Amino acid sequence: MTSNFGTDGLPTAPPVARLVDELHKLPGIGSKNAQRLTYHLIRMPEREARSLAEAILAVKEQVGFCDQCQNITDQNPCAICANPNRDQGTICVVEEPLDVLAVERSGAYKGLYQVLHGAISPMSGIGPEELKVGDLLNRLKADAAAQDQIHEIILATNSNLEGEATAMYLHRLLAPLEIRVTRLARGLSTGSELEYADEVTISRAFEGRQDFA
Amino acid sequence: MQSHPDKPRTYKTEGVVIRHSSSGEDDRVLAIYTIDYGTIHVVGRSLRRAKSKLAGHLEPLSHVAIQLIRGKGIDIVTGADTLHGHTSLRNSLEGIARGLVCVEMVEAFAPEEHPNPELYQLLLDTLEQLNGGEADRLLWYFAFHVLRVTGYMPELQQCVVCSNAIQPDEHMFSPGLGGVVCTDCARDGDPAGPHERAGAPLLSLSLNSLKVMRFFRDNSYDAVRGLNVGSELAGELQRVLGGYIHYLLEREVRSSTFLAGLSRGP
Ligand SMILES: [Zn+2]
Ligand SMILES: [Zn+2]
Repeated sequence: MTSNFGTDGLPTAPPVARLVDELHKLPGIGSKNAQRLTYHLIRMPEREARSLAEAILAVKEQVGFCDQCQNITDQNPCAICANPNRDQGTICVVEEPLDVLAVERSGAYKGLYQVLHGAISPMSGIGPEELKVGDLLNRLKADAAAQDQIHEIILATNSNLEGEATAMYLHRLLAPLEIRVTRLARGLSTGSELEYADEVTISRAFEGRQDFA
Repeated sequence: MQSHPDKPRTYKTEGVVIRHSSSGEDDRVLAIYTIDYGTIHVVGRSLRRAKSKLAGHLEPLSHVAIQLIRGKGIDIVTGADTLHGHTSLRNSLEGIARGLVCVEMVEAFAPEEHPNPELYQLLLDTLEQLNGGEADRLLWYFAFHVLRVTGYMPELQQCVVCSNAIQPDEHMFSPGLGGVVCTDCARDGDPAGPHERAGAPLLSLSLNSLKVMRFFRDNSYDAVRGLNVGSELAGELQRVLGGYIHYLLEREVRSSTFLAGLSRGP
C-alpha cells in the first residue's frame, strides 16, 4: 500500500495514500476496507472529520490505565474501582478491556476487575512477565487489609488454549494466598472468546462458576 | 501466501493445529501442519464467536480432519473434526508447554507447503505419548529426530573436521559444522580453525551425552522410555542439542524457555 497507485492502477494523491496506509494498520481493516473508509472520510463534512480527528487525539491525551485494575479509564482509580457500591471482595480477572465491557453488559457481576492485557502465549513470546500478572499479586499482597477483604477471584480468561493456560498459571500463583479461586462455567464453548459471548451466556457462566480444580 | 497450484477448489486433509491468531472482525488465521501439504496458513471465519461450531476443533495441539475451499490468497476452513484432542495434555500447564514445544519445533524446521510424512508421524506419535503422561526425555528424543528428518542430524560417528572415527571419550560439538569434533582437532585451538569460521563456539560434549544422542538415533521411543535422563544429563542435552537448535534457528524455541521457567517457579 505504499505506492501512489490505487488498485485500479490510477495514481492516488499522496495525502489519500497516507490515510489509506494509516487505516490499513488498524486491526480488522484490510486494504479494500481502508480505501472505502478513506473515500467515505473524503466526502465527509469538514466539521465531522475534525470532530473525529479530535476524538482520536483526546483519547490519547486523556485516557490511561487504572492504577488498581489496569482497565482503560479517564480517571484514576477508574469508575468501577472507585464505586463504593461494587462488591470489594471479588476480583474478576479478564484478558482485555473489551471483556470488562462484555461482562458489564451482562449485568451478572458487581465486583471489581483485573485486566491482564493479553493471555499467555509461549510461542509468541508472551509469558506471565508480559501481562499485568504482577499487578494482581501486588494488589493482593500490598496490604493485609486488602487480602482479608478479598474472598474470591474469578478467572474469566477466554476458554481457548491461551486463556486456559493463563488461568492455570494464575491458579498456581494464587494458591498460597488461600483465597477462593473460581473459573467461569463451561457455557462458553471451547475456543470462544468472552468478548463475543451474548449476555445470557455470560450470566450463566458466572452463575455456574466453579472452584478451580 | 500463494495457494498450492495442485490443490483442487475444495479439498480435505488432516493436520495438527500449530497456532492461531486473531484476524478481521472475528476470524482467526491458523497455521496447521498437514500430512499432505506441510505447514499451511488458512483462515477460519467467525471462529472467535461464542457459537462457532468449528472453533472447538481448531485449537492449537488438536489433531484434526479439515475441509477447505481455496480462497483469494488464503484458503478457508469449511469443516473440521477432531481426530485427537489431546485433552490430558491440555489439563496441565507443563503439558500445554510441552505440546507447544513440539509444534513450535515443527513449524520452525519444516519449510512451508512441503509435506514430510516422517516428520508428521513423529509429531503425532510424540503428542500421543505426551498425552499419555510422558515427559521431558521424550522432548529431547523428539528434538533429535526432528533434526534427523529435516536434514540436520548431528554427525556422531566421525569428526566433522578430520573425518577420523570418534573414540569413546570427552569431545567437543560444533553447532556450525553440525557434529562432533575430535579431541585432537579441538586441541589445535587455532582460533581461525574451520569450526571457528563456521560461526559458533565449540560446546563441550561429555561421553554421556554422546552416548544418549547415539541411543536416540538408533532406537525407537519404546527403548528410550527405560532411559533415566537425570537433571545433569538433561542440562547437558540442553546445552548441546539446545545450543545446536538455537544456532540453526538463530533464536530460542520460545515454548522451551517458557517450560523451563515453569519448573523454576514464579
Ligand atoms: Zn480500576
Ligand atoms: Zn578431528
